[in-house]
Amino acid sequence: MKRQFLRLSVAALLVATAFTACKKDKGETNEEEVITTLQLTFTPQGGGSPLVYKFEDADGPGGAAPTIDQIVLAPSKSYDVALQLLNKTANPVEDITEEIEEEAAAHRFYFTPATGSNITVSGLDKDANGVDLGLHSVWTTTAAATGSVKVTLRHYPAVPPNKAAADAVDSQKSGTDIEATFTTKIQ
Amino acid sequence: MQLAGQFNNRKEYDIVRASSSKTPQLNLSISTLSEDISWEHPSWHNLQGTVGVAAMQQDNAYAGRYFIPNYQSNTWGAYVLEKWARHRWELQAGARYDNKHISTNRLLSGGSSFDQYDFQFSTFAGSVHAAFKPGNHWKINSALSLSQRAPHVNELLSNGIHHGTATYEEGDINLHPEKGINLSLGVQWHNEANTLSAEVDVYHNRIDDFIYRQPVPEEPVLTIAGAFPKIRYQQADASLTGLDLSVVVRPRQSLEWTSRASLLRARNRQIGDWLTQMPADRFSTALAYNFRDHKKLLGSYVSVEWQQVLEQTRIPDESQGKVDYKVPPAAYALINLHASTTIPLTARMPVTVSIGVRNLLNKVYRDYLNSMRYFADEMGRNIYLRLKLPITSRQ
Repeated sequence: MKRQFLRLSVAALLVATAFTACKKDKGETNEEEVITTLQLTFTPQGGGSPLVYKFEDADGPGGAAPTIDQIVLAPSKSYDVALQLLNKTANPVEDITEEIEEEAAAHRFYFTPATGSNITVSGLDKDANGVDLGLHSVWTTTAAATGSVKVTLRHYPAVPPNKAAADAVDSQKSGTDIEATFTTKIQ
Repeated sequence: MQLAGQFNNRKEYDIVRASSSKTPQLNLSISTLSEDISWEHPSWHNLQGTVGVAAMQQDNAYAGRYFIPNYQSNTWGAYVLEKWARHRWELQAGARYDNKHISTNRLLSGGSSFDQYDFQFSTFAGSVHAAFKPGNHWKINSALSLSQRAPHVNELLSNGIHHGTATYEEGDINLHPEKGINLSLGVQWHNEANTLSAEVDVYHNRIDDFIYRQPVPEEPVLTIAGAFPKIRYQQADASLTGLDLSVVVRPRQSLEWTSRASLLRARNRQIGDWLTQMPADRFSTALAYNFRDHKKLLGSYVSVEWQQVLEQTRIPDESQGKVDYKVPPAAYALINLHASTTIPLTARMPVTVSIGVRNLLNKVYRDYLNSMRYFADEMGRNIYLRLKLPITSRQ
């Protein structure tokens, strides 16, 4: 009887320890990486004030739907475009662009205008190996039109990264980090 | 009396930038404790029985990306099971009561604020089961049960991207327990020489408030990484009627030919339509050759199996709008090979070695029940080698 009681109290002690050990604060902080905002800054070549358009999902995946600006550009013009990625759920706002620059050889942006959009994207900046990166690009418009441009960020997980110039946007070597489609209007 | 504890830590990593790549994107830890006390009463007039109480405490915590909230779940239950056997008859009856309390801290949609939300479920289950052996070659089983099932935490509260299936899952806090009446009847038969045997099971489950996963194709969740299919937990009154059949032919000692069929008809009684995401009818047949035991090799056999899964054509009506992201995939047939032998290293250490090929013809196919079917094919030819080493203690 005494032995049984001893066993029971050991069990009870174990239960108590387990419970205090795994007690965690509820609603703890999120440590995940969130990209809320893809921001494109268009600077007209030959002068003019810059235009800013963004894809923004302020609360991250789920919840409120993202807001997507329409990209409105002037006809027959070239723009220098700078791309920025931000995490606005962090305070202060976290600039993820810097991390992409640091790992340029493992990242690649693709810009895919829909046919008839009258936009061509060229002049992408390169990583250290001379392969397209895309944080900077040149967008050239022709006649007035409406259409869309899909911006895709692909990430190469291999170490060292095996990014090559010929890789297609759906290459098996890379995975999608960002896929955002903007509607466009040339007027 | 039994006491058990388990700690489970699951870390999900994603490919992210260096600064956050060393920490998991989702870190789930579950601590579970369970206690079970049962008492078997002495046999009395061919009656054997067990009564017991069981309890479980679970603490679930996450860090990182939101999918399901932190929660603590406490359940306790009591049951009684009586068995009576005499001559050709065997009767069984049981009853069980369960009480489940879940306290959670959920993330309110669209924000970073949390809300305390508690659930309390009481469920009851009862069953009677009868088995009768009319002769040496026959056995008949039948069962009737009434049961309730409380919704799980993920069905109530998930709200986020499930990275295992790349779907956005949305729970419903208003779900209530499923209530079901289940009827089943089974017949087993074999011939005198045991060269032919067959088994048929039919069942009918009538479940009120059946909880299921409903794809919501009109509301894909748009994120900066593209759109994810949304799946919502819903409930409806349903009926599931099925048939399982198997036939085994042993023309010789060494040869065994097994065929199986499995059919299911699942209806949503509330709208008089088929239920979504239910398994398609499937058939399989396998031929095995058993080798005679050798001094060093026991229970050796080789087998070839053919599996046929039909296309699921019994899906909800789409004339009022789409009810799934993709139509069910086409029917497929697979051929599998398997070989196995057991080497008795010592009397206490039988080592089993098996080798096999799944999907021998490298067939490209998708399965209706796999959420990945929206994006990717099933596995191609898969060759495996298995080694089984039993660890037994000295008696």
